[in-house]
Amino acid sequence: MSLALLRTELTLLYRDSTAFTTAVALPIVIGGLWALNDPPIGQGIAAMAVLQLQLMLAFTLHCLGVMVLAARRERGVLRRWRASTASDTAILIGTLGVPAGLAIVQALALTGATAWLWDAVPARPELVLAGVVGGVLVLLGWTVLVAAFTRSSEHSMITTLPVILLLVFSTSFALSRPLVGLDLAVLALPGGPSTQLMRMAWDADAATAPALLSAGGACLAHALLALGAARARFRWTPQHRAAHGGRAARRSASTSVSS
Amino acid sequence: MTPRTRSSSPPTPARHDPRGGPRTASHQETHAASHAASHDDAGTEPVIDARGLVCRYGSFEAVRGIDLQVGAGQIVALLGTNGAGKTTTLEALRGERAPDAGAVRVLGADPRRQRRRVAADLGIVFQDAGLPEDLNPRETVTLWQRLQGIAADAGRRTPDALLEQVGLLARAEVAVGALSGGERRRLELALAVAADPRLIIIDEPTTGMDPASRRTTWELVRGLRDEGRSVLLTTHYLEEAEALADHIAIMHHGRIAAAGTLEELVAAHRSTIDVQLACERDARRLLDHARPLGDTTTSPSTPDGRVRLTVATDTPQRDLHRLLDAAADLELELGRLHATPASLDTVFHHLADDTEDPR
Repeated sequence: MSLALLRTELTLLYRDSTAFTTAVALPIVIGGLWALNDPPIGQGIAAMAVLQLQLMLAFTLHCLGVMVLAARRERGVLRRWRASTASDTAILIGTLGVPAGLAIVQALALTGATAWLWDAVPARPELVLAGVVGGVLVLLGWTVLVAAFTRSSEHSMITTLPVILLLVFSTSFALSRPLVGLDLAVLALPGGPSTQLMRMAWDADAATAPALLSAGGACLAHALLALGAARARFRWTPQHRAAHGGRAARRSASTSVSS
Repeated sequence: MTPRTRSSSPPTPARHDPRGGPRTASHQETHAASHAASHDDAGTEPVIDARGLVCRYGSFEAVRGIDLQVGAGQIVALLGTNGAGKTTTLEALRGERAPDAGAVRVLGADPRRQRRRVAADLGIVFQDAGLPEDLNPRETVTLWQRLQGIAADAGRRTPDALLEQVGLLARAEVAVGALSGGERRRLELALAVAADPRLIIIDEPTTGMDPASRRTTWELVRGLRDEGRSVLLTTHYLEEAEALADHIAIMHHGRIAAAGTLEELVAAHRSTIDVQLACERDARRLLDHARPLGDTTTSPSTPDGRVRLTVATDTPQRDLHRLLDAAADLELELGRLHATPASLDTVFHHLADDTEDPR
């Protein structure tokens, strides 16, 4: 069922020129232009690459994901899918699978481009993938959570901003800290653990087992926390259906992300 | 079906009752026993069984303790004025809304807690379609069959066969966004039957359709019953309920104010004869002859003092003669004259007109 929805979402993305440009073309152009700049020096290469990757994840996965969920709900599509035998998880995977997959492909393409143009091949490229997947997991949780508070696709332009700012702040904060030992402050911030994983790709000496495990575990914990919060707040029906009843109506109309 | 009411009789204008002075008209009280027997006799569980259903929006009680049962192979129409609580009731039956009180069983399961189990045997036509506009009807039906767990080679009806059934095969490759309102409703119907469900819930089946499409849709709905499926539909069109439904439930102010077969509903209401008289004095003279015929009411009908006399009667043809004879004997000149047989329209407007919303 998720596969059928994934195929449908890909078709819809391809047929919607605005969404296609925003989700596919724009990140490639922006990433390419950035990569064409003079390369930073020393550790700056990893820092710039990681910041680019996180921003790409934020825009491709979070912004597109919230917009798609809000639009599908606003037009009653989510309610329609939920009238089928598909589970809630299958519907969410089917709906968010395309933004998540796109984000991963674009992030890896960007890593390849920067490695080639800046002559900065990561020492452990698999950790770039690990960091990107960790970042995707965290952002999937945040995407569902933010979508719970987003009334429409237009409204998503506002509601996604706090997470983007939080991600930029936590990435910058993590990049400002030395990459040694357990840094709880970094791990506690949403973008921190995935940033650490990506940095370790270029700084292989720091990629110790405890560091990898703590960063990976923190990514998972962030994702589960966000999904847990989303579970209580996520709505499958358009908000206007319940709006005349105020808060109590919205509470009544909300349904959990389960089954 | 056992739609029944717990509502108390609302106050209505005083009427002259030939059997004993003014009385307050009550809504038809339809109780479970007679209709429930149809299920018990057949030994089958109702496909919809809602008991004491209450749904609130904050302090506003949209649905106020209704009982509603739909038996296998029946078409049941849920009628009601805007805001009567039909859509909220459907939301509860579809599992989208948790009841604030009461219990709902659909196909023997809780539609909210056992959503996927119910969905396997339930087809839904929503009021607003909720279909991606960039897909075409063929892609939409194909996707829906996958979501319902039907494999392409499962031997079920193909998407094209379903589209042909609803008259949309020629439009199979047109984007849903370019379909007319009526075509979208027919696409919804195709989705509703795509998984061969036992029960189909249809919210406003023919809204936005031209008369020809409406007739086609009615035939489709009748065909569903002929295939042994149950249908619960809501509609604003009284003629649609008359044409399709085995049983009709009329919701008003969050309650089922009347329920039964069309014949049962109409039988509980009288035909009316309306005559217009030149003045109050003429009306009083004719009233003496009209009172023995049935319930009578008088009301000023025009600014120039003309008075309308209404007689509610079970024998309109006979009483119309008597009234005309009496008017001739009294040498009264009658203005407008209307004789209206009891119909679903009479029942509906009687219920809809004569109560304040207590919610």
